[in-house]
Amino acid sequence: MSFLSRNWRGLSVLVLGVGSVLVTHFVLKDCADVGHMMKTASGMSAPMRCFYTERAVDVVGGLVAVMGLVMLWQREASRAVSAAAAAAGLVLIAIPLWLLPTCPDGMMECNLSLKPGVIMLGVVITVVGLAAAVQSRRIVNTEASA
Amino acid sequence: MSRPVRGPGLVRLTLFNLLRKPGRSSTAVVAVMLAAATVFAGALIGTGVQHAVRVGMGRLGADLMVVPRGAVSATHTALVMGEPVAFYMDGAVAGQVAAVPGVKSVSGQTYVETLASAACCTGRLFLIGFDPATDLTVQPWLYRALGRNLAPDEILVGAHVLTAIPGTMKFFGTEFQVAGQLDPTGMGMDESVFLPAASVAAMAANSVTLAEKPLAIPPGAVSAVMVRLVDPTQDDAMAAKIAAAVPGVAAITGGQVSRGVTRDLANLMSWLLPIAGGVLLVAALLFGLLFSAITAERAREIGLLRAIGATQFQAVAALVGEAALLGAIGGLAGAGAGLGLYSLFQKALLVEFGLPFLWPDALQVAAMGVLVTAGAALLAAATAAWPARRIARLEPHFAIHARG
Repeated sequence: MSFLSRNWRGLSVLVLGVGSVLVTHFVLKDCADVGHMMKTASGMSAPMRCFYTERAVDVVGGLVAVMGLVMLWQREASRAVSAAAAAAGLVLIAIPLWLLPTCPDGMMECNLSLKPGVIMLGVVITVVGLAAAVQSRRIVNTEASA
Repeated sequence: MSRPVRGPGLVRLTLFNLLRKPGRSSTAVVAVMLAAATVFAGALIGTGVQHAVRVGMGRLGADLMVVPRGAVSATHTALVMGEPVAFYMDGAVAGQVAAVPGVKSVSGQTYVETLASAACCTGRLFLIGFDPATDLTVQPWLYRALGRNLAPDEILVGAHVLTAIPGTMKFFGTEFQVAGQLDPTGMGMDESVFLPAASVAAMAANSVTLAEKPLAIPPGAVSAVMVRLVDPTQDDAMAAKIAAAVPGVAAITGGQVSRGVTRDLANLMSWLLPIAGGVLLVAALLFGLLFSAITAERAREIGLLRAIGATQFQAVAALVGEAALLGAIGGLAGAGAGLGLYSLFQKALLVEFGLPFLWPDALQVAAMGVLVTAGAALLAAATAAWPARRIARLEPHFAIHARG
């Protein structure tokens, strides 16, 4: 068994976690990235709420990357950690929709770029996490029967 | 009590074979899924854009729009995307257009671009001042939905304008009550706010003292004149006639707007179609290779089937059925993925290419999904048919002793 076929679960989760942070930070855009700021009563400029959506996505993406590392180091924990990664994918989907929603105007930059991109990343992480969990279960069952 | 064990029918055999090598089956499904998703999204965009143009132009209620000569392109963008514009011409133009033979009725509109809101998160809005006595666009809807005219402090908002109903909106220091929200059209009207022209004039006058920046509209000016023709089929000829009769104006027909949208749609399709074609080709090649390998691997099995009495057709059907089932699963997953991805990135895509879009009804979307699934199944069956037929035509003895 090659390194890749033994560790595809951990590697996929690691790549998806690091990818989420990088893509959210450098590819997907929030309103602050295109210079849209909010004016406070005192006349100061403050970032709109989608700025914090991006920060939250960065944090969850980082956690997914750590889960990938754990899966590589502790292969026996892969099943549980894969399921946790799938759950983190669901959290990613929930961030721009409910937890820290993007700006209310559907035509603002965050709704055209950040929100759909993060939902897509969340779906991919959930699917990969579930697939990895199912595959790990099969391995555990095979080892148990042997 | 356990169920009696039944012999594997063709469907059971097919399913069993697919599950025997899940990795290989999933690769084939993913290839078909990508192709089906691209084709489905392309079909959805094409249908939705045409639907939006049909509904939007119908709702506009006019056969022609007369605007200042230099404002044709901006008007097109405003009509299609609701991008705010503001340009003015002498209000007397409405009378001059009405006097052109072949014109049935006219109605002036005044356009205003609002100031961007400092609060999170409303951008600039496109205000359209209409004349309640002659209006062709909002008035028919207004009578149907509200059964009355708008009060001077009332506005109607497009389907995508973010507001509470009933609620208030403030433009240039003047507060308005939101009386209703128009049905979606998929075009610029969805991003617009409609109010009586007299209210626009009052708002402009008040803005000097109430607004951060005063609204300057020349007295008696209009931005566009909506025109209904005696014979709507003559719109192109009438547009030329009006442009010749009234100096400094240009007339935009519904056909011109549709052609402009078709041009923008062609731009989008010019990169989507090669992608769809490429992915389809790769999927077909992959299927062909995969089923060549599968048939070679199963030559002995097919030979045995033939030896115990299966006909050539049954042997081919088992393999082609397997391919069709894989294709159908991939097609269905692709239609779902195409729908999901398009729903997510719809706005970004349409803003980038300047296209209107209105979702076709659910039945039409479902029919497209069925067509894509059936197409994927057919394509997969066709690519598997040749290698399957080749092996099924072998004498059972040779097939059993063939080296897979």
